[in-house]
Amino acid sequence: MKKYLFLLSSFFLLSILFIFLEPKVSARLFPFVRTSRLNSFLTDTVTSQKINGRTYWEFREFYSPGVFTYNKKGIEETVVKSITQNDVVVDKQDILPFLFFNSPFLRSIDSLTSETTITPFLNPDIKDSLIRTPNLLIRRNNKEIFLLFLLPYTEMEITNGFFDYREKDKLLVKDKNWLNITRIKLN
Amino acid sequence: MSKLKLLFAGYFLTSLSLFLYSFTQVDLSLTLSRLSIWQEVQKSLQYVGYFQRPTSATLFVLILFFLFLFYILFARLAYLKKITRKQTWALIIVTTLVLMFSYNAFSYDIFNYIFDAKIVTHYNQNPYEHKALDYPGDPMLSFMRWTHRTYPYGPTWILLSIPFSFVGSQIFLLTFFIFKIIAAASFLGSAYVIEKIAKKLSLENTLLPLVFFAFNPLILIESLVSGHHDIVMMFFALLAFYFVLSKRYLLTGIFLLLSIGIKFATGLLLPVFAYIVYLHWKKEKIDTKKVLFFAGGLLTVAVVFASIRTELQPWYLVWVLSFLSLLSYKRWVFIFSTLFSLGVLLHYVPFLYSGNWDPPIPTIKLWITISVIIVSLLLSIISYKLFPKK
Repeated sequence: MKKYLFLLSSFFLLSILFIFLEPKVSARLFPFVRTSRLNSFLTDTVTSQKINGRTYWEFREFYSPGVFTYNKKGIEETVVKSITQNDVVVDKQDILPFLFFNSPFLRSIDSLTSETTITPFLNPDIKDSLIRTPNLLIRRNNKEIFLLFLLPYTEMEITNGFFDYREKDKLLVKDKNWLNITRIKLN
Repeated sequence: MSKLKLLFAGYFLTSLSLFLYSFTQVDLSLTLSRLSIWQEVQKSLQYVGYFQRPTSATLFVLILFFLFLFYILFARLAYLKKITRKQTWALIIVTTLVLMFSYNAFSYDIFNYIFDAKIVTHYNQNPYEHKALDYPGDPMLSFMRWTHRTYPYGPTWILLSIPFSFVGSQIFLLTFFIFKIIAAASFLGSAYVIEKIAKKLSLENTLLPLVFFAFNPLILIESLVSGHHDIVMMFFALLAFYFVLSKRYLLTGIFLLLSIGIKFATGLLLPVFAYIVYLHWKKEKIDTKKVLFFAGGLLTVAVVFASIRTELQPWYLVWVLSFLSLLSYKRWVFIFSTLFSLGVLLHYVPFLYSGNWDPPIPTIKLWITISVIIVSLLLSIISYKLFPKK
């Protein structure tokens, strides 16, 4: 019996360690962990009035773990539209959507664009945002948070490992900026 | 030279060709050794892999053709009991020794395994929270892929790999070969346990499952060449299966937990183990065929689930093949698994030919998979019609 007790206690110890050390598991299991991560991300962003690419990338996966779909020739239009179709974003041709992130509470599209601010992508009539700067917009309603930001390519290079910046994709990313549109479902 | 010796020599040469071919795929940003002679050799091999792509793809198809040819021939010899256990093991060990030192030609995952452990042993941080891109100065970043991902596997693998990362002393080539040796040892261990299980189940031919597993080109490429840790997961799962059949439940629990903790997929085998324990408790006879199909079916579900989540990766089949090896005496199992192994290995050809995975390659891969399923079905039907069971 003692042998089995050892096995069971090892299993429980390992499971507890796993839950605490693996942020994706805790996000899946405990809604309060998700809420706390969202609040912390929003507070930091609102306070600094800017977004950090790495912090965002980490938040996206640790808030609601999901799956990436990558295609450097472009993500399907219907998928892109499912995120961009709303009263905030206007249709814009000058983007290459290359990455779709899908999870139960967060969906996003990452694109390459030659634009240098987010203004050309926004509906000019929008008001009531938590933040509105030339490169960042955050809006919130009862159901979701809408986030749109634009960062230079250099920021993407240290955040996103999907591209081969040195060789194959050098020309693709040259003189481009990183545009991200995210919709966060609230708990 | 006898026919058998000729066959062995041919197989050895094919393994050697695969070993050499693997170095045509060495990442252009990676220097394996600073020795000038080696650099010359590496450059000329890389020239074939990167700048003579049609030749490279043709060479790979040729190697695959011979690997499958020998696989079928050895399976036939084992079926007819015209090959001895000693000869089989000698071939398995020689192939392992050759391919263990090959380059991970078809996948970059082993670099990620090394880096995950390095985050703990060198950077003293949690790989579940940190990723390779968090350390932009690290020289490994120049030849790695998926640098934006945090550690996605279970705790067992990271706990197992930490001591090996320490032994590697942050010397890349040493750590690389240590990780390859772990995969090779798991491959040999799995082959050994499969034979032990076959004996335990009193299968009429215990050599056939061994040959089915250890000579399957997909198992060889994904375990010995690419060094995927799926083989480690399956080694522990097979050990657990052996112990549950032997009614040694503590060891069963330990090895099953170790296996699940590597990549979670074998968690689906829990009902199989519970069913065997239940039968033991009820003192009822185990219908091995039913149990093995149950296990194979559940692992197929795991493959389908993992493939829907991302895409079908050739190394996922290691999960199913490990257990199906014990049903290799079933003709349709052999036909399906051989053709499916060939089909998923052919997924690499468009990449080797073009150098990328961009469209239309995903569509080509899908059609290869569909064709393989149809051909397997047809071949199984034809084979049963032409050669009915005695």
